[in-house]
Amino acid sequence: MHIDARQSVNGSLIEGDICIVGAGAAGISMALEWMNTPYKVILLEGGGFDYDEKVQELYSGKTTGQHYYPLKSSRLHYFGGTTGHWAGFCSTFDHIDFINRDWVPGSGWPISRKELDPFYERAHKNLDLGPYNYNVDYWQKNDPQLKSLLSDNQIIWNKIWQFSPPARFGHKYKDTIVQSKNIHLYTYANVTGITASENASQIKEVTVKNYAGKEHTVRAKIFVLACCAIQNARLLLASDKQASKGLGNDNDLVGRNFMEHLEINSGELWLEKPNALKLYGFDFGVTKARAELAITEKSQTEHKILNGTLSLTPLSMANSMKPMIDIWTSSDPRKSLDSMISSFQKAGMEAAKNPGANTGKSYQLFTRIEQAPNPSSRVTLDTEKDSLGVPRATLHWELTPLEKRSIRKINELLGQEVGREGIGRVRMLEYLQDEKDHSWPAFTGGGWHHMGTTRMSDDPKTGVVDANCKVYGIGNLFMAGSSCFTTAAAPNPTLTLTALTLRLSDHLKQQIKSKA
Amino acid sequence: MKRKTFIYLSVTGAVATSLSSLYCHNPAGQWKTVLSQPEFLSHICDAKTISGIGNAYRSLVLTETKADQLVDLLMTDKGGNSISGTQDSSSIIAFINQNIEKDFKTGQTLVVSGWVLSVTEARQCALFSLA
Repeated sequence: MHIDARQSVNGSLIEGDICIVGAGAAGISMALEWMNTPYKVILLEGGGFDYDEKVQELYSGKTTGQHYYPLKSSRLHYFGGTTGHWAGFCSTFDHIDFINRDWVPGSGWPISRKELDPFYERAHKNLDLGPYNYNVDYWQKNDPQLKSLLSDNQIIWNKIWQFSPPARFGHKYKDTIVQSKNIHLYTYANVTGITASENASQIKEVTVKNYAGKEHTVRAKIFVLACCAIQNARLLLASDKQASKGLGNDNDLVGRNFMEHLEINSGELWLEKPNALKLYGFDFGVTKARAELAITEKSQTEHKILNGTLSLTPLSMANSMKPMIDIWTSSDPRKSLDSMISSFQKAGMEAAKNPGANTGKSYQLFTRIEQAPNPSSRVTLDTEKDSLGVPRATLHWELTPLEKRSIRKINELLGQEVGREGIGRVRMLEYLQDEKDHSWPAFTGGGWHHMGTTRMSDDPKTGVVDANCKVYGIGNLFMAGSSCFTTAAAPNPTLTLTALTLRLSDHLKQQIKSKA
Repeated sequence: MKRKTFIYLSVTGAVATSLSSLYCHNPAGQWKTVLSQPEFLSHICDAKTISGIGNAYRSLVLTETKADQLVDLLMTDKGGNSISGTQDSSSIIAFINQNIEKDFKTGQTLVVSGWVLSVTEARQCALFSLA
């Protein structure tokens, strides 16, 4: 069922069993799980079914610290969320990503990788991914041309990525959601505040507003915030009537530990003999799976580094490509996307002009790496409010020397391995050459992956949500999505946030049944 | 840069003579030419780059700044085995390449000018930079 909240009678009271705030990958995945159940689900989406500049504008905000993309264009604010322009990169987090690592402050999830396994498999269906198999042997069996760069995997192994077509949730699930009898999708329903009980132990209702000047109230037994890591934190912080520091923020953790994936050129791989390295190649819309060069758990532990991977692009092509941070500059996400696509096309054309330049012997190394949890890297509220009266989000993105040391070590390890196997050499870029230099080059960028602002922990002093994504101290408020990530791992977050959402959904089903 | 052709090395003389003095006594540069050719790097780098790596190495390792020191080190492996100056150039290249392989296997690597290199080939670059 679909209701446009702009058309509803002003001051409507909407009631349901579960209220899901946000209709992106997490919110829609959650809603789908509750279809055809006896429960009334209210799914609130701030935008409509298409891009709306006025709604998108609500995501504007300032950034400080490490140079970042415009906040307004780093997420999409309409039904389907950022799946509306994502590239479909998916991989699972590793065992090491969930454990406590004494060299990574704040690491250690209260759940294990094994616990997520069945949910990863289920999430594959939501995201139109292939078989739930991330073993390189499986993919090599299907295509013998997918040969490994290295013969030894003690230090570096082949971590498989799978590619969603990509699944655009807005298109893929619109009809299903709209036709559902028990899912009540409200578009143009921006949540502007959350009202808790007097002692802030229960959520009573949320207020929704839109540009049509309508204001409605939504009441439910359970509330799930699924509006992305920045907006989840923003909403909690802005809801300060019953809790002066914001909901769930007794320990001053909401908004802190914002994490991104650093995605940055880091070096060059030079091979003695030409090698097309098909296993590591990516052709948008064609490639189903590819590998990135990852560092084994043992080696990460030995060198006390963060988890990260290296992808390979022929140098002849990569040399014509601009860094993302220089391309994705418009606050209009459509313009930034166009700029990115045209940059790729231009690089492709440049490479095509001189096909002989691709000798198969030189590759650009691109490091994708987790950012360590850092309380100073955070989302706060600005004094300026958006046009619906909610304080805007401000992002202070802050990196630490650990990220840089890890990038350097990952590239060095590859250099040692290709040298050891006698197949090539690695050259690290200049910014990595001085071990004492902790600064970041101007081309440092992220993957548009926002994580960690309502982090999961088994201790309310170190986390906003518990192992079931429930906000500490509030009985019926849950967070869905990457804001719950304790650490960021190396892979793009969509698969894991979807899996985590399905796990949350199962938990809520159990809870609601037991209460009934 | 295409790898320079290694010059056939024909050195006769007392084996007992130290390698460095051999180097010194052969100003024609045969030793230097053979030893200062990092084989893999010369496939992918030009002379300027190799020289730059060599300069950087000498700034990094202050005890290895002179040609005779580098020659001594290059002509002797970690096990104390050395190659005789009477050997032909291909034997010397094989000896050096074997040491490069050993370096990578035993973690005798370092980063110079961003390149992850074996100590042996970094020394070769250093020697090249002194030419």
